[in-house]
Amino acid sequence: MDTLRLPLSFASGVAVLNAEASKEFYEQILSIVIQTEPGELAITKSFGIPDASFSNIARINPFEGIQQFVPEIEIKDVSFAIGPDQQTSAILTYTS
Amino acid sequence: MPSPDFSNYIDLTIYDVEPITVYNDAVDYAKISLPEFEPRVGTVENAILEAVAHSTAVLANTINRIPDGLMEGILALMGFARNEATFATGSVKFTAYDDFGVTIAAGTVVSYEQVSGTTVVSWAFETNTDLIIPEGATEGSVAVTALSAGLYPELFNTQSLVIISAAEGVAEAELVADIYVGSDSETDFEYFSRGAQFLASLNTSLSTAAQVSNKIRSSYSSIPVFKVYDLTKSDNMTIGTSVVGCFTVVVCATDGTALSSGTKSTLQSNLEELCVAGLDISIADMTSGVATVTLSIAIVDGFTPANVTTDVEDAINNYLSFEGWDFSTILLRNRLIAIVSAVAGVDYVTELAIVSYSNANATVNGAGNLVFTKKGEVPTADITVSVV
Repeated sequence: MDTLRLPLSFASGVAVLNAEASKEFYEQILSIVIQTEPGELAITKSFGIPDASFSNIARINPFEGIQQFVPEIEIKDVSFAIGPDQQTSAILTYTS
Repeated sequence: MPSPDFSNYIDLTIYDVEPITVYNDAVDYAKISLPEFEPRVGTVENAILEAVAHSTAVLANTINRIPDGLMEGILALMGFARNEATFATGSVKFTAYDDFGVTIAAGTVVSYEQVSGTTVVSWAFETNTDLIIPEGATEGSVAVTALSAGLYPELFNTQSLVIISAAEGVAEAELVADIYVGSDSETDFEYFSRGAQFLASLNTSLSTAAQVSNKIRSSYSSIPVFKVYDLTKSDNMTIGTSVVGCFTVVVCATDGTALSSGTKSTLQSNLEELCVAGLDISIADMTSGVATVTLSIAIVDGFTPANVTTDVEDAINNYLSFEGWDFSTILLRNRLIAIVSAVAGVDYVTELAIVSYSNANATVNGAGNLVFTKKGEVPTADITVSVV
């Protein structure tokens, strides 16, 4: 199912969507998984991965946990890049 | 009907919901217009649904607390207190190893340990005051109080206890009397039910049969069996007739004998004071007759026919008695069959007939049921049981 794109926006009066299985779709859902700490969601408490900075789980690659929430893709590689504003970006390479 | 009417307090906690229930309902509802709607965890739609479901559940559960909160507030204003848990208490005898004298400090903990399989439940007491066993003596007793409020198990005199605190020189401890077991706090349901009855009892005027029944039940232990009839005057107790502005209380002792005229006149004068002006109150004696009942039963293998027969007679007699009769206007044959069928050892009822009634206040109709024509009539039974 297509999903609303974040941040919410409208084009010609219609909400902009991410088409299911598109690059933007996975970009958004993977970002949400990474940024969500398990237990944050009121109902789906297992959703999300622990923040590597504050968790003992950092000893293993937390990105391995992503696959359980997006099982239809296979993550091939994870790398990080520090932008000019000192923000760290995670770069995930996947095949679907 | 007085307002507010607390006679049936409704606890809304039965309508509490879990967030997941609200969420699932919301998804089901959305699918009515969007059949392909399947929100996926991690999408915007799902996040909004989860957030709203969570907030809705919190809101629903909060709303459900409001009636209880208001009721509790009203009861507090009326000086009606909740029954809090009380502490179990008792007295413990300590025995020292020798007679050199020892002091057991206040707060020394002893406990009774209840072992159930691999689980050990400890019921602890602490001493209220210092206990000084003087030189030359080896024993002394001191009052103890439970460490936590609530109902303790029944513990009896001489029950041995485990000494939990470090108590130098003390060999053993045991109870020297049966303990007072304390009590648990009443539950919300018990508290609000009691509160509702309390508020109902504050009515200064009685106007309905239910109110009069509540009043008699709560205030007149001398009237064990009674029935209040609205729109009834004692000189016309025929079922189906009504007299506006009157009600009648029919009374008797548990064995059906009439109450003393003093008891009845006291009841009447008290009710007249409490009832709204203009109501005519009558007190009448109950009447009774004997229903002749014959039945045949089949008995489950292994049961003794004589015992089952006695149990069947008891079951019917319990129902058709001054204490058991529900003052129905009709005694259904099927009701008796149901009662008999529920008796242990009865396989099935092959035949049951209400043959006759000993007076004109009830008659057996064509369907075999006993139809009453008079209010305040209580049937007893003459039973013949045969085993097939």
